[in-house]
Amino acid sequence: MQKGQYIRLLLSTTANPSTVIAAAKQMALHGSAQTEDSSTKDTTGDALEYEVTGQSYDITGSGLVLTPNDTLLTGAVGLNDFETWVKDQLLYWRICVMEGTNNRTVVEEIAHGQGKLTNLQISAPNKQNATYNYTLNGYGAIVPGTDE
Amino acid sequence: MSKIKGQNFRLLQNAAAIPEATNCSITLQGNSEDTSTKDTEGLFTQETIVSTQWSAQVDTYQSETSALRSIISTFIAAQPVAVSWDQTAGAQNRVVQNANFKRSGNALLNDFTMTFNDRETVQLSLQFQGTGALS
Repeated sequence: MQKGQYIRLLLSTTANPSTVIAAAKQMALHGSAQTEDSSTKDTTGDALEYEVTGQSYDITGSGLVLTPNDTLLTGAVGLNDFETWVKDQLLYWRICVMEGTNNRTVVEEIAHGQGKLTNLQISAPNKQNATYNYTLNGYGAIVPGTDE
Repeated sequence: MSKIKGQNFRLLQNAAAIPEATNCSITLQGNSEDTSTKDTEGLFTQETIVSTQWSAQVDTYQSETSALRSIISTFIAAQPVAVSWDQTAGAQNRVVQNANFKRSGNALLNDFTMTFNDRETVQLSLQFQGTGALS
C-alpha cells in the first residue's frame, strides 16, 4: 500500500516547482464535475442522461507551523510563503511521489497544474502545535503526470 | 438465512473490478412530482415518478500511482465509462457472478478525492453519475 507521507505537494510561483511544503500533515486533491441533464423528448424511457458541462478542483491540506529559522524550511514552503500568496497570485503545483532524506527527492509525478490560494487558517490551540490549513483552488486544467 | 457479505459486491469499471476497494454503493433515485390538483381530496400530495437516475460510489485504498493518473485522465475526458455492480467470488473476490444483483450502465466520473495523509494509506473516493438507464 502506498503511504501518504511519500506523496507531497510541491508549490512555487514558477513552473515545474521543486519545493515541498515543510512539515505537512495532510493533503487531498478533489475534482468535481458539474453535470447537466441533457435528456430531451427524443430520449427513450424515464432515465435521465447527463453530460459534463464544467470541471473544477481544489487541493486542501494542513501542516505544522515552524519557526522561521527551522532547518526544515530550507528549500521548502512554509507559513510565510502561504501568507504572501493568499492573494491573486498564480501558483504552480505538482503532486509527486517522493523519497530520500525528509522525503524531498521526486520519484515520479502524479499530476500538476496551476492554482490560487484562496484560504489560509492558522490555529493555535493551547498545549498543542500551531497548525495551518490551506485551500488552493485550481486555475485551469489538471494535467496527469506521465509514466516514467 | 443466507446473507451476502459486503466484500462480495463490487463496482466494476470497464468490466474490471475497481481494486483495493473498501466500500461501494449504488443509488437508484426516482424523481417525483406532486400531481395533486384541486380535484384531490384532503391535504396530502400525490407523488408520481417522472424520471429516474442512478449513481455509484466507491472508496478504495490505492497503491498504484499509475491508477491515480488514470483516474485524473478519466475525469478530464468527461466521457461516459461502463460501470457495473455485481456479486463476486473467488480469488480477490474478482470473479463476477453475473448474478441477479448485476446492474450495469454508463456513467460519468463526476467527483473524485485523493487523500494523502501522513502515516496513512493513500485513499481514493470515486463517484459516478449514471447517464441513461441502468440495466
